[in-house]
This record gives sequence, C-alpha cells and structure tokens, in this order.
Amino acid sequence: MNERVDLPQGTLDVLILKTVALEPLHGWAISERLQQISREALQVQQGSLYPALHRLERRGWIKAHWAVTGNNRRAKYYQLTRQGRKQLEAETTAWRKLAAAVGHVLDLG
Amino acid sequence: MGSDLLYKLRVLFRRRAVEADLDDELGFHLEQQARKYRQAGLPPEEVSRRLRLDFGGPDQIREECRDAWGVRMVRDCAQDLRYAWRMLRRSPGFTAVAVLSLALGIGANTAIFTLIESTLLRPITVKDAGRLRLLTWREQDGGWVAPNLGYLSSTFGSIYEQHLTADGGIMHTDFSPPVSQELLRDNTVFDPLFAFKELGRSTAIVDGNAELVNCFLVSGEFYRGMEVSPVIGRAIGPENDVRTREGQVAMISYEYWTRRFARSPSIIGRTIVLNQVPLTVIGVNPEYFTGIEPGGHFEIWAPLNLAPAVSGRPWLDDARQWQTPMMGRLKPGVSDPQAQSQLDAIFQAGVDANPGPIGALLKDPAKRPRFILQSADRGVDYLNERYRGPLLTLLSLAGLVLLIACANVANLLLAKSAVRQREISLRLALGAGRWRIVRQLLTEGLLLASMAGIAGVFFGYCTRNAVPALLATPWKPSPFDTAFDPKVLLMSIAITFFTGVLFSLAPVWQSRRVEVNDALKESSRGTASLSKLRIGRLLVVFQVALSVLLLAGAGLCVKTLLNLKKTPLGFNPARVMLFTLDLPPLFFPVDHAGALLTELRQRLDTIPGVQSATFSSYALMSGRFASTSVKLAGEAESDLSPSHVNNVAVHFVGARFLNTMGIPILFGRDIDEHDSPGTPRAAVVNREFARQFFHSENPIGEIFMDYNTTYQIVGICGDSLDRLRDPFKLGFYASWVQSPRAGQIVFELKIAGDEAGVVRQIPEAVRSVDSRLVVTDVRTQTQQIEDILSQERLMASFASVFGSLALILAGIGIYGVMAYAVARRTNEIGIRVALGARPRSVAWMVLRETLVLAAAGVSIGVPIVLGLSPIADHLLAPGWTNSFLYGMKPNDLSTIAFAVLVLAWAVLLAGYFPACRAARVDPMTALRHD
Repeated sequence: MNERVDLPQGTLDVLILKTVALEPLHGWAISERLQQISREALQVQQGSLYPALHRLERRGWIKAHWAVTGNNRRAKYYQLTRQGRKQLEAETTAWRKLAAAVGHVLDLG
Repeated sequence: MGSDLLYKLRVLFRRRAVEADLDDELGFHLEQQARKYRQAGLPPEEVSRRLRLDFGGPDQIREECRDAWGVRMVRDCAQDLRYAWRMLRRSPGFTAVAVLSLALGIGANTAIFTLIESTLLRPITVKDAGRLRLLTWREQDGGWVAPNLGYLSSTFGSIYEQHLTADGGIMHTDFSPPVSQELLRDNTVFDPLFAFKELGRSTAIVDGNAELVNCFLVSGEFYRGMEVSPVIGRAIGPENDVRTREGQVAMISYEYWTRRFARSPSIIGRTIVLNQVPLTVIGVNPEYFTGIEPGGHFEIWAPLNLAPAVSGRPWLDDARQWQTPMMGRLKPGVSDPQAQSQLDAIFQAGVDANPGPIGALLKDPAKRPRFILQSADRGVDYLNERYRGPLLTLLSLAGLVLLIACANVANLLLAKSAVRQREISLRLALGAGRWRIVRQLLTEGLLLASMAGIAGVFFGYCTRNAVPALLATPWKPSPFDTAFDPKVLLMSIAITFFTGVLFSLAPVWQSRRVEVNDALKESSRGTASLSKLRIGRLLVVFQVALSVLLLAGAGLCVKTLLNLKKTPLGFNPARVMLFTLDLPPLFFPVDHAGALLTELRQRLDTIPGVQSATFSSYALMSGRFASTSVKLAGEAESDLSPSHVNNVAVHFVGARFLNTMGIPILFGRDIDEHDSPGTPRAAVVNREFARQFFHSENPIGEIFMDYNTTYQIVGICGDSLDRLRDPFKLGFYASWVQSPRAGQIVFELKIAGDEAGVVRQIPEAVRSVDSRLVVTDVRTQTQQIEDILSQERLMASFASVFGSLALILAGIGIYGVMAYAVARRTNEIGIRVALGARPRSVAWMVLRETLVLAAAGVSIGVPIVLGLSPIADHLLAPGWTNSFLYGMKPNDLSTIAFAVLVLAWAVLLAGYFPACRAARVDPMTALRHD
C-alpha cells in the first residue's frame, strides 16, 4: 500500500484502453477498476483520468455514449473502438518489448 | 483524421452541450466517490477532504479537459475576433470609412485582375497547351516588304497582321504554299505540325436560308494537334485533306449547334452550303473550344483545302501567296532550340527555292528573314498583344489606390489608438503577453480587411464587366470572357490578407512603445502622441505623393483621348451610316459585282433621308486599309527602285465617295458613274501625293502605276487619316468598279433626315436588289472611330476613376490626421487663444500645417511622375508608334500642374474643417478639458 508508483508518461492511455477493452465503463468505474487490477499499486489522480479520456475519444480510440446506471443515474460510458483495439495491441507489444529489454539490461548488472 | 475534425467541430459548435456534459460527467464521478466514502462510514468533512485529495481541483481538471479537446487555438482566435468585432462596432463611423476605402481598393484590384486572368493568363482551352508553338518569321529592320506581299495580307483584320517589333523588324505569321509544304514534309520535331486560315465572314445556306457565319479553315492534323475531340460525330482528319467529295466536310461550334440546330443529333450528315460549296457536317466542337485564339467565335470549321473553293482566292495554289499561318505540338523530349534550328534550316532552304515576293530580302545576308518559334499556350494571342500594356498599367494604378487606402486605414487606426493605449497597457498590466497584444491588433486588422475584402470582391464582381463594356463594339461579339475564376478569388483573398497585415503594422508598431505603467497614469497624453502624429503625417505625405501620380496619369490619359478626338480627320464622320456586305466570289462573280453594287447604290440613294450613298472596300478609320507601292509612268521598271514610293494608302471606292465622306475635292472631279470597266482607271490622289510626285505642277491627266495597274489622275482631294496618330500620308482613291475584288464591301450612307428610319429600310432595300445579300454590322462612322479608340478610352476612364478615388482617399486621410491633431492640441490652442491669438491666425496655423504636408507630398510625387510617365508611355504605346500619349510629351508640365492644382484644392477642403474647429476653440472649455 505504501509502495505506490507514479505512472510513467503516456502509460495512462494504454491502461485506460486495456480497462475498457472488456466492456463499456464510465469514468468512475474505470478509476476503480484501475485501482483494483493494479492492486492499488499505481497512483492515478482520479481527476487526470478525464482529460486522458477526452483525448482518447478525440483520437477515435474510444467512443462514448450516455446511458443509465444500475442506480438510475445518467453516466457517460466509454468503450473501445476498432481503431482503439489496434492501438492497444500495438502499445501492448511495444510495452512488453520495452519492459523485457529494460529488465534484461537491469538483470545483467 | 475525419473523426478528429468532427469531434472538434462538435466542441466548437455545440459548445454549451459539451460543457454541460463535462459538468455532468465530473459531477457523477464525485458523487459516486462520495457515496463510496459515506458507505465506508466516513464523516462528511472527511469525505470532502478525501474527495479533493483523490480528484484534484475540479476547475483545473475542467481546463485540462478543454485542452484535450484540441481547440484552444481556435477558441482564442474566436475570442480575439469577438473582441475585435466589439471594437469595430463601438466606432461605426471609423469602421464604415475604413471598410469603404479598402473595399474600393480591393474591388478595383479584383476587377482588373479578373480581366488580366482571362485576357493575359488563361491558356486556350486545349489539352497541354504549353507544348503548342506558333511558327513565325521576322523581317529585319522593317523594310516594309510585307505590304507588298499583296493586299490580302490585311484582309482579315487584326490577328494575322504583321507586327512591328520594338527594334523595327516586322513579325509575320504567314507562309507560302511551297514553304509550308516543305515544313510539313521535312519536320521531325513536331507531332503534328498543322496549318490553318481564318476565312472570316462567309455566307452559309442552311435549308435555303442564307446567314453570315465566321469560318475557320484547318489542315487535317489540326484536331489531333489541338487534342480536341468532338461532342458528337468525328473531327476533321488527314483523310479530309483532299480536293474530292471527301474534303467537303465541316464541323460546327457548340454555340452554333445550340443556336441554329437546337442541339439536334441529326445535324450529323446534314448539308451546309458555305459560299456555294456544299459541305457535310461531320461533328460538333466541344463547348469550351474557342480555337487557336482565346475568345474566338467561329461557327464553321472546314478543311484548309477548301480555301480556293470557298474564298475564290488562290491562297493554296499560288506559290507567291504568303497566306497560311502554322502551329505545331512539340514532340515530347524535343527542346525549343532543337525545333527552332531544324525548322529554320527547312525554312531558309524553302525560301531560297521559292523566293516569291520576298526575294528582295534574300540578297543581303543582313536582311534575310529569320525563323522564330513562339510559345502558343494562349494560341494566336492578339488580346495579349493589344491589352497587355493597358491592363498591366491599370493593375499598377489599382495597386496604388489600394496602397493609399491602406495608408488611410492605418492612419485611422493610429488616431483611434489614443483610446487603445490605455486599454493595451491595462491588458499588459493584467499579464497579457506582447504577442497576445500583437495578435489582438492583427486580428482586428484582418477582420477589418476581411469585411472590406468581401465588399470589395462583390464590388469587383459587379464591375468586372465595366472594362469589356468600355472596349465593346456595338456590332461585334466581345472577345473578353469575364467568367469569374477561382484564381481571382484566391488573388483577392491574398490581397485582403496582405492589406490587413500591412495597415495593422502601424498600430502594432505603436503598441511596442506602450508601457505597463501607462495605465496607472491618469493622463497619458504626453510623449507617445508626438510619434503617433509623426507616423500619421508620413502616411499623409505618402498618400499625397501617390495621388499626384494617379491624378497626373489620369490627366495625361484624358488629354490624350481628347487630343485624339480633336484630331482633324480630313473627312466628316457626322451623320454617316455604315454597313457591311459580304460578296463571296462564287455567288457574285467579280465581273458582275460592279454592276450589282452600282444598282444597290442607286437603290439606296432612293431611300428617303439618304443624301448620298456609296461604298468602299474598307470603312475609313476602321484600322484596316490597303497599302501599295506607286511609281510614275515612264520610270525605270525595277522592283523597289528609288522612284517607288512604298506604303501609299489605296482606297477602292464607289461613285461620289469623296463627296459622301466630306473629303474636299481641290481640283478635278470625284470618282463617278462614268468610271466603268471600259474606261481608263481613274484615281483621285490626295494633296500629299500630288506634292510628293508633282510638286507644284498640275497633275490632272497624269499617269501612275502600282505594280501592274495604271491609273489616270482625275482629281486632287484633301488629305485624310487612315489611322489616328499617323501624320497625313500619301494616298489615292480608285474606282472599285474598275478594279473589282472579292470579299467584304462597306456601304456609306450620308443621312439628311431620320437616321432610325433609314436604318430600318436598309435590309429591305438590299434584299430587293439580291436576296442572297446579308446586311451586317450596321453602325455610324462615329461609332467606327470610337471603336479604334477603345484602348485610349479604357485608360482614360479607369485612370480618371482611380485618380478620383485617390483624391477622395487622400482627402479623408488629411482630414483624419488634422482633425486628430486639432483634438490633441485643444489645450495648446486654448492657451494661445487665451493669450490673445485671433481665431483667424489659429485657423491659418492648422491650414498651414496641412499645406506643408501636401507640399511635401507633391515634392515627392512630381519627380516620381517625371520618372515614370515616359516608361508607362512606352509600355502603353500601340504597335506602330512608340508613344501612347498624343499631342504632348510624357512630362507634359501643364497636365502635371493641373493635377497638383486639383490636389491642392482637395487638400485645402480637407484641412478647412479641422481649421474651423480650431478657430472655434473656447479657451475656458479647453483649459478645463483636462
């Protein structure tokens, strides 16, 4: 819990894409989900999620629609587009490669 | 990319909804989070503390989201624009004056550029016109052999006439049959090379009805060379280059197809009888196709081989006839010098083998004709030749008007910036960057310019027909196409942008000096205003200098036009009606034409109101006249011997021509009915002719010759002009009936009574003599003269309009600056009055300052006029003289003095009102003012 890591530049985008890849989610759910699946390890300021969401929406990687939640409240749901899925795959591969390479270099020492 | 644009557009145009959505979205998040904490049992104040900690500042998040929408730049600009719009709305008087001055400037440029685009820049409407070349040859040092090539050279008007070059040579576009055949046969650099000939007005009979059409003859490769395919049917091809039935085909223009045949596809295969030769229609040209010249109007296109049959002239059969122009399409990969050197070799060999009438040129190597390839991407571009100078000059004048307008707006902006300085320093104090301020000022400038641009383009669009109207001939179709081209719009936008930036420079420059703490001072009317006045005054001096230039230009042009109109013509054009008839030799064999015309002349004489009727081969002052070479009988018979006088004007006329045209007969008699084919050829020579050949002896009864014709002098008449700007030249009048010739004939009717009544009766009278005759081009002799003054009229009208605009704009500029200066100095003037200055001397102080500004402008402007006017004069000069101005030198001092005087009055008027205001300053109010 105390070992929280700040996100490197640009990684928030790929995390969001991954989070909405399974089902459409609204902003709060995305932030909750991020906390859960990273086992609370990643430090994401909740507010900074929204500029990122809007930027991804503008780029056409996710699309948004308004729907009513379980407790009858209007919320904006985001879901992955086909373009976004391609982007997610590309970034995942790139991230894996980078992580492997960096890990390899560090292991050498 | 598309989705990105849609997204941004949605953000921009559904702003309110997008913002509301954002609020909802963030609100929902905070609600959910708060509920989560409440359910965890946290106390309310702890909940809100946690929320702030987790979420961050909502306002900052909101701003970051807006950034994420990617429209910040646009929003800032929109904000600038809104602000600029408010500024302009706040001073409607200023805005109106600024927009109007600029709109006039931009409009003038748009109108002129429309014309330049269509007249000088637009290529002829064929594919890849850049590879077309026109074949020409150059006669060195203007030996004037060309007029001796035969009268036919100038039969069909302007297009294929010889052109004087700047250094005195003459350009020719015509080739003789043997030379042209050798060029066609031996060339390997053009694919294809083709020949053509304008046949001009011809009589076409369709379904038994005669009408006049313009006809163009082309060789078989013409359509392949122009890469034009017909709309329906097929094009004339090499298989039609024969003198059998297969060669008797025609294509018609789209316009003729529409007008005469209602676009019926059944036109293919129909027969049109052209000058008595039946032709089968095989195709229709596309709508855009104007042929080898921009703005050409030709109804019928037929194979060149028909020329002898339809023209009755031996164009293609006589090796001495230099009559056929040629063009070609350069093969890919062949350079101009390559093509030039190959064709030159063929040409020189061809000329040596068939010297014909130009043999005299070949003896002296320095005088040998030279072959020259010319670019033909605008075809045979006589419009360019004729209007390049005037249009470029008008464009420069329009540019000057625009500059004056810019100076005006800059000045107005400066005057306004007293208010702005406070505002600007306030904005600086509140943390705005310098660049942000500059951007704001530029935005205002561009907004102003755009409003003016829209008004100006509209204005230019409305007046784009003014120039063609000034150049129009009442009886001919206009060669100008003023369809609005997108290029013109682009140009106007560029001009608008340029002017916007240009006049914004003044206030931007000004804003540089504004300091943050200026806003804190109660009165900031000290130092800055001095430099502001200095820039303003410089601008006024600049405006006055340019106005001098425009006014002097206008004066010179108007005076030239007036001088030309006053020129003694040597005949009386008043109350003379003209009309043209076509006499195709196949309908009207030359031998019978004389009798026909005599009968027609007598018939016209009987129309009530006609005082006398006659005819001639050309109308006087139509720009067309025949020249010949004359020698006295009994002198040596060698070609071009010194006893020859070249370039003698000859007019073939009907009976009583001199009388009808009001040319005085000094001795002897007019050409009359007794001069018939059976009697010796009679000639009336003019005074110049008599003086040159006979000095003081009485020439009546003497004999002279041109080539192989002998004339006997029966009278001497006064000198008259064939062309304006020329001095009186040698000339003679011979009887048409004794030397009948094919082609067009012009009738002249001197009217004593009701002109309109006579005009109504002309067609009926002509038809009653022969129903195949078609009357065309009914006009007055005065209109005929007006027509050849079109360029001068164009220059005079536009230069006057531009000069007046400059005057008005400069007046507004001076008024603005002086009014501002008086307002600034109310204090000082108040003190002066309080100390005993008289209102009159106060007014004079202001007026004197105005006059000093004007004098400075004039002293800069006049030398510019003196330097530029000879250059413009040369640029505008028509082909055969080297000066445009007439009846004066380029630096006509009286005209320049007149321009300065007009300007001085305008300046006084503009300075008068501020001076009056200064004189009325009440010392008490003025001193309390601050």
